Amino acid sequence: MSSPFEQVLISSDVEQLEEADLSLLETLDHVLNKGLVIAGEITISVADVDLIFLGLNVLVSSVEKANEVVRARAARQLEKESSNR
Amino acid sequence: MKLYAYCITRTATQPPSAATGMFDRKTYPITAGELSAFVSDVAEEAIVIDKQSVLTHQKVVGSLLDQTTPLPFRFGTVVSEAQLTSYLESRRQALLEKLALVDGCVEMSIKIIWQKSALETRAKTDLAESVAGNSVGTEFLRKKSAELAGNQQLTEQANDIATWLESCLGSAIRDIRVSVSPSQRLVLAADCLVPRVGLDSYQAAVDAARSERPDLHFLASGPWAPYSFVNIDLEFKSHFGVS
Repeated sequence: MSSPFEQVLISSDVEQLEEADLSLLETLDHVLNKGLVIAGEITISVADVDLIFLGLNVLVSSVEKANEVVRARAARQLEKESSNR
Repeated sequence: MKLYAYCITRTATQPPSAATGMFDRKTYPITAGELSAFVSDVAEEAIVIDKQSVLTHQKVVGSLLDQTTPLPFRFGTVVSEAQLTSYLESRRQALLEKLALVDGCVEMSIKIIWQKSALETRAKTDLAESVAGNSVGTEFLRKKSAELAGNQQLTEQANDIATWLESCLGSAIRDIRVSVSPSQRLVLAADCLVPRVGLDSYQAAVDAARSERPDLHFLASGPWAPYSFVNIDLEFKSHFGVS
């Protein structure tokens, strides 16, 4: 599993994240990616096959989904800009 | 009944002040000689990742960190008591060595991110180099070449920053794990093993580094249990059953 930071940086500006969001991201980064492993004894399940949102739209899985979010966000931004003109 | 495992300590360690673990079950130690693993009972075969369960794992480990430096398990470690006892007994020496290595220390993390302007400058440079009138194939190859050159340049810059950061932290840290990954934004992630008594010196070193490089964005966090310093060789064969 890649770092939640890697994923969230694809679609967000770190500067825009709240301190609590960053704190949760750091917790995820440590707790999910690191630590002692007993061979074969980690079994986790996720609520959605492709994507997990943990409160603040933190993507911890699926680059494909992340890219979809980025594209949707870019489209919304374009719409917003054109309506402001 | 299975056990959810949080961390390993020396046997004399008192139970965590955050006494409840996953699913509000009580945490307690399973002891094998000089080592104890703190666990709570679980009926579930797989642990669902959600905000609450991740924070619960961290809360239990964090409350033990208040009194000692534990070896934290990765989220989702569910074992039988026999498996856990066997693990503690068979890895006794390696685990005691790990406990000695991290004794009196905590983990402090730094992530360094490119400021937006650096990326925008690069994008503008790429655009300026574009030559009008090229064929589609030429333009594709040119872009690919520029991309590869850009990636190499970013990697070199990121490696330089990693070396610079290590020199800044110097004697304030006992050990460091640096992961250089010059992706779109992230330059590097560094996890430092810092003596508890030296946290002020570490903080001063990080502040000085920030002041020296205002062109970089720093995210510093800690103290954590030493998640990045506990893995024992040949034990990476974890199985992520994602359902």
